Amino acid sequence: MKYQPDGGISIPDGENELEVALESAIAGDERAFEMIYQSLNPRLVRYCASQCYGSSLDYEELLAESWISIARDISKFTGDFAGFRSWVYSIARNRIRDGVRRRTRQVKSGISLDELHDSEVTATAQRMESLIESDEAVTAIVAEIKKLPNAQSEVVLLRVVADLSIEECAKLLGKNENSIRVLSHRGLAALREALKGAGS
Amino acid sequence: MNSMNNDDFNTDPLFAPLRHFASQGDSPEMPLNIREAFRDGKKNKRRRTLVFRGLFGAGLIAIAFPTLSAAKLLPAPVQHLVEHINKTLTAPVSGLFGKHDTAATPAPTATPDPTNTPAIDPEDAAEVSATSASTSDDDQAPTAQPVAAAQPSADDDSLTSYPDGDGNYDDESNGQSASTQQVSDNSGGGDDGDDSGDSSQGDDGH
Repeated sequence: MKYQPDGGISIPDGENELEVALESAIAGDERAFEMIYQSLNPRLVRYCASQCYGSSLDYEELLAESWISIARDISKFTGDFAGFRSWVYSIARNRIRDGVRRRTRQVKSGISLDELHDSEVTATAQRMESLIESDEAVTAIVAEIKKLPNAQSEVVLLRVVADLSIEECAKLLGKNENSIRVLSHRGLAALREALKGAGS
Repeated sequence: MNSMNNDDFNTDPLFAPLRHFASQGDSPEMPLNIREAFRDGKKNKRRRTLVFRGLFGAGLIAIAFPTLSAAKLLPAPVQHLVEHINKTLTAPVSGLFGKHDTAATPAPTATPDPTNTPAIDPEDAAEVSATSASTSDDDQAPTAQPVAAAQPSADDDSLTSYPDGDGNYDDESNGQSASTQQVSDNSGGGDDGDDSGDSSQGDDGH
């Protein structure tokens, strides 16, 4: 773990440093946890933003809820850093699914979609735009990913945006590695076709 | 559809914007609410550890102290305390077991058991006590002794002792034998089979 002389924290590059930081964070070292946060947060933000793209969910709120859960329960975690990363993404994924269910209930209970669109969707879309820095290409890719079947879309986002391995994806989604390979292959191929078609 | 490996994503220029998007590394400060959640988690962990240690220690004490007390390895006051606590704790349980045993005991049957010694008639016993009282006055023997002798049992040597060559009884059974003789004399021949031995002794003795 690298502590800078001014008290700041340098984000570790190697897995070994993150392993050490994880052990310290589990033992209760707050600075080690901050290091892990700064290492994992950028990809987690993009994963949540991509998952919430096109919906009325507030990805920042879901992200904050996920990190609070992680921070509270990290002392109970046992395993290596790869397992920890899977655990972090599974928490975020579950939060997003809970958010979707909650929103569905709200719609069913009579809150009009117009109200939701007026207030939250616009705000989320604005934050999403600011996140991707108005990059139309990224927006187009994410939009195409969301058009894929749900299983393919999830695998592609986890493999591409979250940078998880086949094994980590399989563990997280509760499927075997071969089915993850097939889903990833089909999803990326369909995405390529769609992007080529859009480009031409 | 073109065949495509999973690793093609890393080299395909079509996905370059998404690769760039995914790998952007802005690292903002950790928000305060997450920091507080981490501290809460630390507190909860410490509390869990303390509770676990406390329960574990209490369990160890609960096992070790009665064992040491049974082996009499504890200092006297501590041992006394442990035994007191042990009794207090086990009393309700042993009471339950006691009740259970009593309930499980079969009720006595009305059929007399031929192996048992016959019960003494209360009237006979009263007579014996009255007679032995007069005898004890004569012999200046304790009054309780004849009463005890008036309740014979199969194991009672005084009823089956025989006189020695001089016609005297053993020193220990002198008082008892005298009273027994009187019992047999006073009871007469009513109890033929049962008191036959006694009456014969009495006859021999006199």
